[in-house]
Amino acid sequence: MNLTNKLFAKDSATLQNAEAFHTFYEQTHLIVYRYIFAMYDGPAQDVEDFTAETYIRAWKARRRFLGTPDAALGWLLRIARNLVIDTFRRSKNHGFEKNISNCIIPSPNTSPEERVLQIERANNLWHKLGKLSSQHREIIVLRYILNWQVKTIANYLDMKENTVSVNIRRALQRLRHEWHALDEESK
Amino acid sequence: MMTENEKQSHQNGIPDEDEIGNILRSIQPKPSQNFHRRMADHPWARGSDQPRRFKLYAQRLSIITGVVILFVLSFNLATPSIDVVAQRLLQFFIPTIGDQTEVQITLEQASQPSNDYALSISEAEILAGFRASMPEQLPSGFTLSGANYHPERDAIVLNFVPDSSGHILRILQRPMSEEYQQIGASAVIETVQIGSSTGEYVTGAWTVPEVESALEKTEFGKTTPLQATWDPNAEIQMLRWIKNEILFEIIFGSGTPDTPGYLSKLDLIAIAENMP
Repeated sequence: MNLTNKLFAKDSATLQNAEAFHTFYEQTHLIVYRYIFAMYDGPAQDVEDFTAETYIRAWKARRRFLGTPDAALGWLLRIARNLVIDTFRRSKNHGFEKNISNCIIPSPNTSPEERVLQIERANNLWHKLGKLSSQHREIIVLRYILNWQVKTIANYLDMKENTVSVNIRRALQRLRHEWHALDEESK
Repeated sequence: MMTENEKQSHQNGIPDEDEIGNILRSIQPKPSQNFHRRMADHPWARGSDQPRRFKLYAQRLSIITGVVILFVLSFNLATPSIDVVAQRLLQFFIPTIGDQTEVQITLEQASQPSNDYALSISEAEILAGFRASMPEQLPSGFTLSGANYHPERDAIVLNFVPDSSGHILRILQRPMSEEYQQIGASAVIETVQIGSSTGEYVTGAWTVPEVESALEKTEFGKTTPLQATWDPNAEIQMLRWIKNEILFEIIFGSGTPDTPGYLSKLDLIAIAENMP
């Protein structure tokens, strides 16, 4: 993993003691939070709860985990994914409830009008993530929200790189199709 | 090569695949301050003996006549009292009651140079969720060695190294908030003008006296509480200011005016004025 290799370059120690786990938490909590944020359709408060719960479960199970730091991040994301899936199954409300307007990094040198347009397009696209299959959605989240390389995604999902690339392409086409469909409806 | 359909879509304002990727990359949510407060109470955060009020990330610069100079990167008083804020509105430093305080230090092996700045700026930006500024012009001989993101301060730190000499130049930036750098009571805070903004400049550093005896009890790589004393004559300079709702901090460490690559107060102000 490109980014995580750097994050963990210094320390591949076990997560068993509090200090190592604390370091691991500090290095990964934004990644886990963003993963859950993008994989879950409910409110932002739930995302914080799930992120906290992910680490609590990992902390409780830390003595059983003996893998590498890269594997530790994958392990965390799988805990997070299971939490999201369980909640999704139980929940009756599957609509998007998050406002992402405050989460968008402004493009450099944008005018206020361009900023409004940027937010509008991001919101539009964000809501279309829910139209993807869960596998396509996860791949898109890993690729673009977490900025992982295709190879890293392939390792994490135990897929061939080519399969990941094909899935990314299909998911992007689906997002474009959904965008087009909305445009047509609004005409 | 775009297909006819893709060309048509593009003309209709439908983003192409690269644009979709860029839009998604620009969405970088961050947890609230409540989340961080809540997570500070979990067992792994309480596991060490560190007092939670202060944290110091320190790197050993030099051992000279039995004194370790702590190069301050983070020593923040997270929530000063309302009275203090009212008295020190728009200022960036808070003096302690005396010139002594307890600090947490981690001594690093000299044979294992720190890899704390292993990220690129864009990687640090992804973690931080905001864009970092780079000085448009760097002091002669200095180059960017790397960046890092410090979650506890929600800050991006850029590390610059000179082509010769052992000076350290770091620029920290974070969204504006009530965050104060703690300094000794005897420190002199100088108000300086940075373009249209007002900043503050301080020289001095926290030092750990009698370092040999302290080191005897301190394992490398372990965090240890030690008494630190403020030395107003230590060759560490700090400059803090706010621009476009971002808090900036320049730290320049070690050396004297006669050493090559030394940066004076005016040099630091010039760097600050060069920040876009």
